[in-house]
Amino acid sequence: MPRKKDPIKVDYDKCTSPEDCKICLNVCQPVVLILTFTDKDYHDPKDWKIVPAFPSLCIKCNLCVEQCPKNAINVAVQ
Amino acid sequence: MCKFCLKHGANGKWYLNAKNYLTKESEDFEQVRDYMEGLWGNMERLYMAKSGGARVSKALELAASPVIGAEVRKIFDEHIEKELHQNPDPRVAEGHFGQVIPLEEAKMITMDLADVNIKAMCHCKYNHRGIKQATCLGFTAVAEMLPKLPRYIPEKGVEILDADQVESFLENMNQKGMVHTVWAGPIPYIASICSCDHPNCIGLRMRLDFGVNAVLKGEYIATVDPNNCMGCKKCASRCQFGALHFSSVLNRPMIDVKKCFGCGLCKDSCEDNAIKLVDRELIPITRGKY
Repeated sequence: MPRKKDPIKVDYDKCTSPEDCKICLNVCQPVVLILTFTDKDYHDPKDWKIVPAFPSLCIKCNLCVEQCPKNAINVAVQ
Repeated sequence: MCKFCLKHGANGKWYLNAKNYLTKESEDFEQVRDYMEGLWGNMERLYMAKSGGARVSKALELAASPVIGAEVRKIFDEHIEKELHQNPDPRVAEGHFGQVIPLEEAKMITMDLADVNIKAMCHCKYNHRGIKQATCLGFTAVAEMLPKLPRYIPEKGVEILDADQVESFLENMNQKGMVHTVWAGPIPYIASICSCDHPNCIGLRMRLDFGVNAVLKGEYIATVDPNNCMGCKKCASRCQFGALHFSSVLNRPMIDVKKCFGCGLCKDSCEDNAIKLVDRELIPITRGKY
């Protein structure tokens, strides 16, 4: 089955302070989304981003899309 | 016994061999300490790190693929099995793997075999969600390098636990439903005992979601004695591996030995002694499967 390259996209212009929000982290059932380091600095979680690390585990439940207060997440359904 | 036991176990389990516990006098001490510093200092970026041109998180997804999965898993195994004399690269956690152990053996290791038990923040939970929880116990090399990495020191400051504190710490973790695991760093030395939780443990995540052997199954299998079981269902919420479910018709839990990791959490919740751990080697279909 052909898989789209990046089915889950996070808009980092809208998602600016994930460390305080973490709503998508808590609703994601298979824990596809994780809060992890960016290339800039990996010691301070304030600078970290929400990363869809394992898109192959995604069940397309769309909870993260619906509950994101800033509409920053987009999940492509094939 | 697992392959590491045959190599480093001296006719027993590798993690119960006193030789595999580092002391400050050991000639490998400095090398292991530097390795641990590299490992813990770079653990947050493990999924995003590049190894051989590919991100680890992408490589993990390939490891679960039906076509080239077996080849990718073989590469992961080679990385994981690197020993100290092969100069493992700590930045991508080469030579760092874990094995599930029951509570009794965790107590035995921390009280009798390790000479220092230092409480440390779990870097896996930090990596996944940015939360800090002091659920790990580090031994000699970790205790030596931890002051250089202040983000892993608990709020109260550096805390060296004595035997009573270690016992209550491990029992507390067990009550919370965390799996006890012993971690090599690097093979043959034993670095720490962690309290792991799927999916926020990097090792369990690799093993359960992607089939990479970063955590080996324990040396035991849980079995149920139907005569003792009163059907309280306390065990039903304890299994992280999907090996145990409660059958209401039989009024006792069913355990899938192929999925059982032998962590003993179900046994520890049982008040009627209905669940027992037996040696993995005694059951023909699980013999040699780690």
